[in-house]
Amino acid sequence: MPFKRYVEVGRIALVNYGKDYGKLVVIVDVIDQNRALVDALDMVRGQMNFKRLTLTDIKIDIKRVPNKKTLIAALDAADVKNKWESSSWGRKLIVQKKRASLNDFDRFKIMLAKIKKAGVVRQELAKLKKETTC
Amino acid sequence: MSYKFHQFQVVGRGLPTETDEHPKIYRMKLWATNEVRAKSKFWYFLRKLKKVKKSNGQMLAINEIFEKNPTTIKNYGIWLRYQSRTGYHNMYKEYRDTTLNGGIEQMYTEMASRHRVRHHCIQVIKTATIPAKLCKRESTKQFHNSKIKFPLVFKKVRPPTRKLKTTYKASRPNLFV
Repeated sequence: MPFKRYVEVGRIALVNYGKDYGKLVVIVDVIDQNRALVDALDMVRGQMNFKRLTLTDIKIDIKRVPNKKTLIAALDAADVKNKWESSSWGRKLIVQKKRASLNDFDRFKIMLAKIKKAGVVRQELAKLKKETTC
Repeated sequence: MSYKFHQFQVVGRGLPTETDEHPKIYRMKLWATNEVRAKSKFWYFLRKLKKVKKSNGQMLAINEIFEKNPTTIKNYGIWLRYQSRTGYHNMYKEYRDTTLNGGIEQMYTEMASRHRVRHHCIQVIKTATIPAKLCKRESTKQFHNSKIKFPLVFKKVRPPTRKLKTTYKASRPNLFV
């Protein structure tokens, strides 16, 4: 299986460990085999070990080590935020976050919605069963 | 990033005597884990260079030196003198890092792992920021590529915090990138 996601200048990665967990960062330069210079909208440009990064499919077009303004412009031009939030991975993370932040009343509402949905599905199933057996 | 080795600028001179009212002032930049050790190192080196000891000298200033541009990558060349089991040797090593303290720390750990040299047997002679053209080592020169691109071959699967670590997992991990 060939590799599809490469470490390169402009690759978007997700931080999977440490203080900046869950952030989307741009790989801005490669320091050496294990570390990259990494930058995001709300952090100071710093180094990060590749072990803390999970590469995504998104890549933006920037030169090596751009300044913050150019970086933000490139991020907006490539529409990274929307691409991420509409991708299946991004959507899953949003759902996880929502579920983790529910309060008891929300969980009650979800329970009712689930029961309702299951009831509608079961009705349709019963209808289809009736058609096939008769 | 907290580094073990900090860079200090230490300034000292011999005490003024009747024959020498204004002795020469000497300044050294050196690496130590803390200020106390830095002062001690200063006298150690100065004793070897000039006829002055801590007992007949005075410390004028000691300041920590911080990295000017910790957000840019630089190639550091480090000249060092170390003591091996058989004698003293000189060495030149190159490191790519964002800060000089980071490069020095890489040097200490690499000397310990490759040559079993502990940090007190290493003396840093000189450090310099080397422009990319003048780097000598292939391992630093291979990163001097503006279109650098490589895949991460092996994905390390680990929980996002130490708290979520468990001995047993329900399924085998997926190691493909």
